[in-house]
Amino acid sequence: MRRTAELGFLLALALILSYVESLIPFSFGVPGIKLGLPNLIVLLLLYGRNEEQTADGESASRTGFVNFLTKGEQESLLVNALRIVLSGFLFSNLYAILYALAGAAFSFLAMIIGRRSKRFSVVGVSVLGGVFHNVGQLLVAMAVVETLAVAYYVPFLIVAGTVTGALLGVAGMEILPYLRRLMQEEEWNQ
Amino acid sequence: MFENRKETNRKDSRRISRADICLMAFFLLLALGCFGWSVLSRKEGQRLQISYDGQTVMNVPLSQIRPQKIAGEGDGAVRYCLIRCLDESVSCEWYDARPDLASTVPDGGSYNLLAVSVTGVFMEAADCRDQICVHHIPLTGIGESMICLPHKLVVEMAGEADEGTLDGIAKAEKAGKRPDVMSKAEKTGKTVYNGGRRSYETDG
Repeated sequence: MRRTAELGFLLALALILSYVESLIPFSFGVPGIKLGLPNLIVLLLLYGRNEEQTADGESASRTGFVNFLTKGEQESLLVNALRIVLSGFLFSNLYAILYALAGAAFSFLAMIIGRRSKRFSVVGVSVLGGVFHNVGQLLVAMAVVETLAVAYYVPFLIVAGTVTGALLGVAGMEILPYLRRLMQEEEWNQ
Repeated sequence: MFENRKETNRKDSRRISRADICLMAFFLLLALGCFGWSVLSRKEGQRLQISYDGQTVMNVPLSQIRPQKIAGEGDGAVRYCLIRCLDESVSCEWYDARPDLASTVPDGGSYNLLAVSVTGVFMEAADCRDQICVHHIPLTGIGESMICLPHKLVVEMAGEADEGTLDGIAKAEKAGKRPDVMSKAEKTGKTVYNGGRRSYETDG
C-alpha cells in the first residue's frame, strides 16, 4: 500500500516534469531534441530499489506481472507508460503519445540492458536512454512519414541524447542516495 | 551509521565509472563521424521537392524558383511558397513578397509558408501545433529535409539525378507539376495537386 502511494507520488512528479518541459522553449533547429526531464523518474525507479546488492534479491524480486523484469523495472515501466498517456492527453494529442511511447520503449530497453550489464553507473544508463530515445523516435518518424530523408539528423540527436542523458544522470546520481535512505528508514519504521 | 557504511560499498552511487566515459566518448565520436560523413558527402541541392502524405506534390529545380541575386542587396531577397492543405488536396502558390496570411488563408485550412532565399530554404510560418518546421535550420544540401508532422508535409532538397531517370520523369508527370518559369508578377506559378492515396497505391 505504501509503495502504491510512493509510485503515485512519483507519477505526479513525472507529470509535473512533463509539463515543465513542455513550457521550456528549447529548439535547436532539429526536431526531437528535448531535455527529457521525466526520464529522471524512470532512472530513480530503476535504481531506487537497490536490488542487485542483496544476494538472493534478484530471484525474489522477479515476481509480479512480467516475470523477466525485476520489480524496479516493472515499476518504472508502469509509471512511465502512465505518465506518457496522461501527459499526452493533458498537454498534446494522440500522435504525440505514439511517438513518445516509441521513444520510451527504445530508451527503456537500452536502459535495462545497460543496467543489467553492471558496467555502467546511473550516468551511463541515462546516456543510453537519452540516445536511444532520440534514435528510436527518429526511426518511428521515418516509418510514419515514409521517408529516409531525416537520416542527417542522427549526429545531432546522438549528441543531444548524450548531453541531456549525462545531465540527468548526474542529477539522478545526486538524488538517489537520499531516496534510498528515505526508503530504508520507512522499511525500518514498519 | 549502518546505511552510510553500506552506501560507500556501493559501486554505482556518486561515481562515474570508466565505462560511462567510454560510452559518452563513443557516442560523441559516432556523432562526429556521422556528421563528418554527411558534411563530406553534402552536395548543393538542385531541386526542391515537396510531398504530402508520402506523395510528391511539387518537384522543381531551385534555379527556377530561387530569387535572383541582385548586386548590392546581398542575400536578402526571398521568394515565398504558400502551401495549403485541405483534406486530401494540396495547393502551392508562389509569391515574390510575403503574402498577407489573414487574407489568403481561409478559415479551416492549414498552411505552411515556405521561403526560398539565395542561401537556403526555410519555413517562414505555419499554423501547425508544434512549430518544429518553423524553427528548423535552413535546407541547403541534397537529402536534407524538414517535416511538418501535423500537416504530413515533407520539404526536401534533391539532386539533379532524379530528372534524368525515367522514374523521375514519370513521377514528375504524375504529380502534374513543373510550374512555368515565374515572371515578375506577384502571383506566378500555381499548382494544385488533387489525388487520393488510392491512386498512389494502385500504380505502385
